[in-house]
Amino acid sequence: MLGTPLATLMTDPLAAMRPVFMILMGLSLLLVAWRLTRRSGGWSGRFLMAGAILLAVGYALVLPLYEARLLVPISMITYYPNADAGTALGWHLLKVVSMNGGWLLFGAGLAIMAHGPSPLRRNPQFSIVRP
Amino acid sequence: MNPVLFEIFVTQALVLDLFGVMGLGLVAFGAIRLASRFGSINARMMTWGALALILGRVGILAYGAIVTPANFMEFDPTLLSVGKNIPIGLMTLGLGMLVVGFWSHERDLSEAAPDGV
Repeated sequence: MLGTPLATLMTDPLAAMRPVFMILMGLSLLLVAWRLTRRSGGWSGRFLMAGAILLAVGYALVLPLYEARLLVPISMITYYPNADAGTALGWHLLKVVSMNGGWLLFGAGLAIMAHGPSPLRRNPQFSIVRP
Repeated sequence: MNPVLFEIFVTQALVLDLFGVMGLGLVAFGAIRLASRFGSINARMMTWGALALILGRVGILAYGAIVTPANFMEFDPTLLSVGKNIPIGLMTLGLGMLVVGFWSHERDLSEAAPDGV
């Protein structure tokens, strides 16, 4: 079970690189959302940041663990008699809540942000605009 | 809890999957709104990424509803591979396009109003 990712790296490198891609994209979403909302208050920034945190947990932690076969999917639990059903259910709930709730909160924040006035980083009266 | 309700709402996660698809729809809505307000190519890329993510997500949900560990031996392996890998590829592509568009949008905003005085 532990040797599966390396074997996958030899036979199917595209599938083996997908968890790396997902880790990078989840952390990029978190970084960009933080940079976008660090100067702006209001509910759009809070929704966006909460969604980005949940998506980063889902994409950078939970989904790579499933891809590495370190966690048993809940649909395959009957085929692993030694696996703990409660642990599998807990990881499944964490995955489902982080991914779906993350997209819901991220989308709500983005929709509110796109609907409202354009966010300003600072008061433009006191900022020096770069040439 | 009723085992049928437990399977529908917890292990199959019907309501949460619905929330996830609704959230992707909200992402597409917000990106379309941004594109129509600012006319930027980044928001358009975010829109296409969100659409690809919706298509891939619905495809994965349909695959999980049709193919189960009990009956997957009845299908053609090539058909199973195609039906599973096309939505996964769409989701990977859509996630990449969404993140690139989001990053470029943030960079445009920070160039329009830099916060470093």
